[in-house]
Amino acid sequence: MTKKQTSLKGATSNVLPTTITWRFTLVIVAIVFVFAGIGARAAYIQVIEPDQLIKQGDNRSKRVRQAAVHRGLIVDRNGQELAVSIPVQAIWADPKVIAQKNSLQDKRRWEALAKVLDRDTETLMARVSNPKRRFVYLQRQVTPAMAQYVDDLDIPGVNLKDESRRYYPSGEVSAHVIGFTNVDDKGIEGIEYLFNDYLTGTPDKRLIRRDGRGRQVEVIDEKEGEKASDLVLTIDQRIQSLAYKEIKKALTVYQARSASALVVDIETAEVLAMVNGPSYNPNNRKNTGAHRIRNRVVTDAFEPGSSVKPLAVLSALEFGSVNKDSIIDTHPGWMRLGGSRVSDPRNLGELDLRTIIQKSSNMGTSKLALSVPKEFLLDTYYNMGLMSDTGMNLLGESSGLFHERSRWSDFELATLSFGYGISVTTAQLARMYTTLGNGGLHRELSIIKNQQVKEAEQVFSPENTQAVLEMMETVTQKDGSGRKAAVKGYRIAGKTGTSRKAIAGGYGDNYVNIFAGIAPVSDPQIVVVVLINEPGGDLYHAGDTAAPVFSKIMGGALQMLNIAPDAQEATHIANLSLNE
Amino acid sequence: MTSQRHNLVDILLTDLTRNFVRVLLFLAVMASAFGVVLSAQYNRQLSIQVEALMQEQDRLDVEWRHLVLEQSALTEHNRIETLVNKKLNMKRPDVDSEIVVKIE
Repeated sequence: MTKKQTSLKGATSNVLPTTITWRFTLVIVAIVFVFAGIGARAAYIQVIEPDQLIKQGDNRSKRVRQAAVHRGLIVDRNGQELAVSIPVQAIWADPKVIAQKNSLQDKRRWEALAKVLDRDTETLMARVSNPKRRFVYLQRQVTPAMAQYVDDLDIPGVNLKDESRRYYPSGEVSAHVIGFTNVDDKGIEGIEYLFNDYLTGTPDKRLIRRDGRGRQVEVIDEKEGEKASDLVLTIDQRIQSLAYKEIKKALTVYQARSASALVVDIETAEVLAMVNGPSYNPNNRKNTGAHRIRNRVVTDAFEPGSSVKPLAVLSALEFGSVNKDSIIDTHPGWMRLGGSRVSDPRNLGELDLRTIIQKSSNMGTSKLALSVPKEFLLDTYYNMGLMSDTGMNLLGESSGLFHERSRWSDFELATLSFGYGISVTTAQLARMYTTLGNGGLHRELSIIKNQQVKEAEQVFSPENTQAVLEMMETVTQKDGSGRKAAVKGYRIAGKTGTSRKAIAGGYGDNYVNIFAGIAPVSDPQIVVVVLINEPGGDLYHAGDTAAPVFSKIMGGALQMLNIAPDAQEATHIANLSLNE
Repeated sequence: MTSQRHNLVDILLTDLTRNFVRVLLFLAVMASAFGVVLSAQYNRQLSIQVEALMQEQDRLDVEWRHLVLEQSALTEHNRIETLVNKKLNMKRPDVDSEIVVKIE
């Protein structure tokens, strides 16, 4: 440095400084180029091709966040939860990352993981050993505690993912009505399936910018998802539990193949309870046979037997071929129709309508059925909804079996009057009794609260239905076939039905026992239908099997719904005067 | 040409007062610039808070669901009925022990 300075000093003293033009120009040009270059680059980045850098920036700061969304609740009419979704987590692995980070080396951690998942270590490690795969589920729907443990294990390439799991607090009691969801929280059975869209929501999405610490600093865009809606059923869980308890008991006591019960509110035609046995646990469906899952109340049709006999009487009353006090001569207890024979167990002689129902006389109902034109008789069955679906639209709902034909023999019409030659479901039968109890006002059954319902239709006159109801009351009184269905303190109208099950080529030795009834007779409030399928014990008459079960369910339901006793000998009545 | 001694401060002040509107505009620009910075900062803080609250909401929802499940499992009707039968020795009243009160 110093040497240079001295030499410069020498130069200044001798030579006048002149501008060396080419150098000056060179410097100017160089500087202009530099700035022009910078300017051009800036313009290029900012104006011509900004996308690349914007993309890079966004990759580092822009994120989409989703709010967790859970399936809606299913609750009963009183708000008791029947199905709840709980957030759980899934454990998944990324084999590629596992291979990259060599995490299979650390065998102790994998042994711990296998142990908590209750799996074999070798098979577990084999599952994640293919580095070409990017996603393998190790276990779905684990509890938060287990997820925490897996998180603490901290194996590279093993991650957790939020999902939700459906729980059914009422368990097997309401399993058939509600159904269940699959592992992806999608309804696949029962109401869960039917109302899947209604119950499922879509998550809220937010496009956000995050800062270096991952906090959200700017919300760029918000998209509100569809909220999952809750579903309110007309089921009353108290009655449902009671009915299930009784049905379950009946299954063992009568060694039946299956049993069902249905409780319907007459005023609104809302289903208060719908149970089947045997049932299953919807929370753990391992080893559950398909026959247990079926909602037999709506899927299985049976020949209703004597339980539809009141229809023949009602039909005759409506047509006017008889009146309330008519006497029908069933002598000699059997008759020939075409080539076939209709008979009573014994010769019952002259019967009034009341006794025809009480004694369940085949002869009586056949004569009544034949006393009206066949179209009129068939219309009666049709108007009662025995040939159409009930309006509940449940999964797998059957509308029974009925052969439309143009020609009916007298014998076929007679068998129809005592409940053969037509198959109906328990729900259809309940609908028929609801119409009877409602003074001939015909409604569709409903199981979803506040659902749009069709207008009620007056299909029979209130006088005639009330008359039939009072005739049916004798069934549960002394000498009636269904005295075991009586509930103390209440007037109960009902009808037993014991029918043989049809097999190929005729009727077999298996029975279906039905008791359907209405209470209280003075102001009908609820209908209960109990069906016992193939009782295996010594008892196979509906009056001995279905009737006592009916009595328990009806009695409990009346009490729970606070319906006042209406029988004459009923209990103690205290009069309370408010204005003393 | 008389050389006059000028006070720099005076000159500055006169200049500023002469271009009062421009100065005002300048100040307004600066103020609004700071305003933008501040509001952006507040906005970020609030966004962070919103996110924290949302997480809290999710957490509470999860807790609520667990509680609902627990409650409904514990209050299952058959369970209650067995419990009151066994522990409290209670039973459903039969018709004979019922008294209907009619209000006139």
